[in-house]
Amino acid sequence: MNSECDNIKEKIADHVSRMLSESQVQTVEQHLEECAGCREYARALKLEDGLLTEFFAKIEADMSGRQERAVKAINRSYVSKQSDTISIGRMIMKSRITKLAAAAVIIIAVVLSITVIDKLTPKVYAIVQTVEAFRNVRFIHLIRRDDADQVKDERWIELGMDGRQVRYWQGKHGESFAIEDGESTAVYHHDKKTVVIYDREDKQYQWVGPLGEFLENLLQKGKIIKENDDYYGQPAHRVWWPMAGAECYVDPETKLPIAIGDTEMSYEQPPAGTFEIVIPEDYAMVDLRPGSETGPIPEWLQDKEIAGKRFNEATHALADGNYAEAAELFEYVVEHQSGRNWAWFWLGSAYYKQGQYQQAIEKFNKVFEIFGDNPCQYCNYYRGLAYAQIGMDDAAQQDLQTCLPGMLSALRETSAATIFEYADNPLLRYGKYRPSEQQIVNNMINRLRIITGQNFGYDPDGSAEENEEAIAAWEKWYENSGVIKVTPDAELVRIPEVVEEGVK
Amino acid sequence: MDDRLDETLVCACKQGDTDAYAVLVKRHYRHVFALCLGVLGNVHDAEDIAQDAMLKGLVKIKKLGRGEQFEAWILQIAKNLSIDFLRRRRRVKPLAGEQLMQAGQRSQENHELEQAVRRLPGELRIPLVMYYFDKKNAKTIAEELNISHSGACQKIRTARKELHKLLTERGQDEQRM
Repeated sequence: MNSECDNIKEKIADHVSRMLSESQVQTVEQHLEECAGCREYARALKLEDGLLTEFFAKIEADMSGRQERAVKAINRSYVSKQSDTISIGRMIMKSRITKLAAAAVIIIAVVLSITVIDKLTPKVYAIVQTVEAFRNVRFIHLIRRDDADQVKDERWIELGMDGRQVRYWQGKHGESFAIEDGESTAVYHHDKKTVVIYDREDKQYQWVGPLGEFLENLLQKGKIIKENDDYYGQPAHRVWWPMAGAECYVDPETKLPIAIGDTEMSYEQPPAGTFEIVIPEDYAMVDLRPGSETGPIPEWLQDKEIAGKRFNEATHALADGNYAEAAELFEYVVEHQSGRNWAWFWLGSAYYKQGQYQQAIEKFNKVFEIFGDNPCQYCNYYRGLAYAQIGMDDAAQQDLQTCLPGMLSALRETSAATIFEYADNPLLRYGKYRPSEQQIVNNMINRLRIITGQNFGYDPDGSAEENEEAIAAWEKWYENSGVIKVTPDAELVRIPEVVEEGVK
Repeated sequence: MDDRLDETLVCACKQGDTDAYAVLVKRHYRHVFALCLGVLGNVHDAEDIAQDAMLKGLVKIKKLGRGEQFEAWILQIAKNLSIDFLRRRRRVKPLAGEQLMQAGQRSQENHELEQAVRRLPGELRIPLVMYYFDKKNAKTIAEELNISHSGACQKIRTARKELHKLLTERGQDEQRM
């Protein structure tokens, strides 16, 4: 075989697939006449081409059957979902009314319409029913998906008689990330092919923290936004759940949430063995339970463990205003866990608070590196301020213009503002900082005042109408000019104190 | 033949008209199936997943803002489900005996080809299926996969060469046995 053959062979596949130009076809065919080796190769490829065509034609042959089966499956699923509600109305109308005399029809129709309405009118809902319904829940299955509908987080929770979490599974696509079997907690480090076992007392994973407190918050502060709304075609009551910072959809039948924010919920029993800690065949196990004999702890794990502790300390230092200490601790964290976006962000904040704006900007840049194309408005906000502080006005403008629309819309949609609260106070992570809706709005107003120099008479003690006017004024201002003007000494709205009500 | 636009049908679906959804299924099934076949390389799995995708589409249709994008949307769902399925399958590998039994049931030639198609990497199998099953030309394949025209040609060419290699290697293995 020579280099010409190599060259021609490249083209033979194209020739067989009819993807060559006229002149190339001539060259190839001429070569084939002269070279037996390439001729054989072309013959084999042609044969395969025929086989492929035939193979796919066979698949094609049953296409209409397949299509019909899919349509039937659709119809079946639809009938099973809808039959209950439709049949009540239809049955009564058909079987009785048509048989009766005209005069009677009117009377009976009135009577029937009452019973029909009674049956079809969705039942009155009160939030306490959801809290009650949770008493009988043993398993919770949670799924979160990304925009393309891919599962990005899945959890199973088993609750004990006292409503506390007893067993837990977290992962995605069936690949475990953490399992708690009631006694121990296993954390799967797939990149290191290692499972680390902790005593349950030392490490726990939770979905929302103490469930009782979470429900108490719903009971005390939850609000029904809309009864008999729907959640992607399923009937549901829409409820605002402050502690979740999200809207919740409640199934009118079971009174249990079918979704909270972007988390879908169901309550079936998990597959057998879900909560069993299994060490995959080629994985190592590191047992960190007290009293267990384990070999030397790998260095990466030590670093991770220490970084985890430092991260916790750093967030508290930041919240307490010990910025230098926070910066030092966060530096350690990002050195060992460079993918932690919040560590980078709060490190930037710690520098910012100390007036070290250049360093702050560098750290905020890291956050954007991690986020790629995804927006990160709170980071735009703080980086914009840092740029403004060192006189880089164009860069500041660009950042602040980016986050401005989102900040404005967050005045009405406070769940969108929660992330700014978190950026300002990491203790939100541990449930130690819980801003009220009023506080969230006020804080956002203050951030807006700082970057726009505008003040539309928002009064934390004012009536809803007055403040509505102020919010509308912001929106109008944005439509008409929306010019950024950083005003660090803007007059700020007083933030009302939160009164914690009966949360234990 | 129903000639209503996709967006009209999607609108009707959102109001609970399942007949409209059946029209959408019929219209786009082939394309969805071809995609699943491309990703999965197995007819039975492709049929299952294509059906799942259509069912999921019905449940989620209210989430679809722009009806004219139905096709792209349902294809995305099908693709995600196929990838999920592959991930699951990778964990549960069939036993050797099971594979052999299947082999005995089918004609040798077709089976070999099917195996070879299945063994191709997804990035080559998808354009191959588009070309031979969906009867698309290189230009359309390039557009749909968001690659250059020459890139699409290259993929089909490499797919053919790899397939040839797989088929001849297989033949040699069997001779040795």
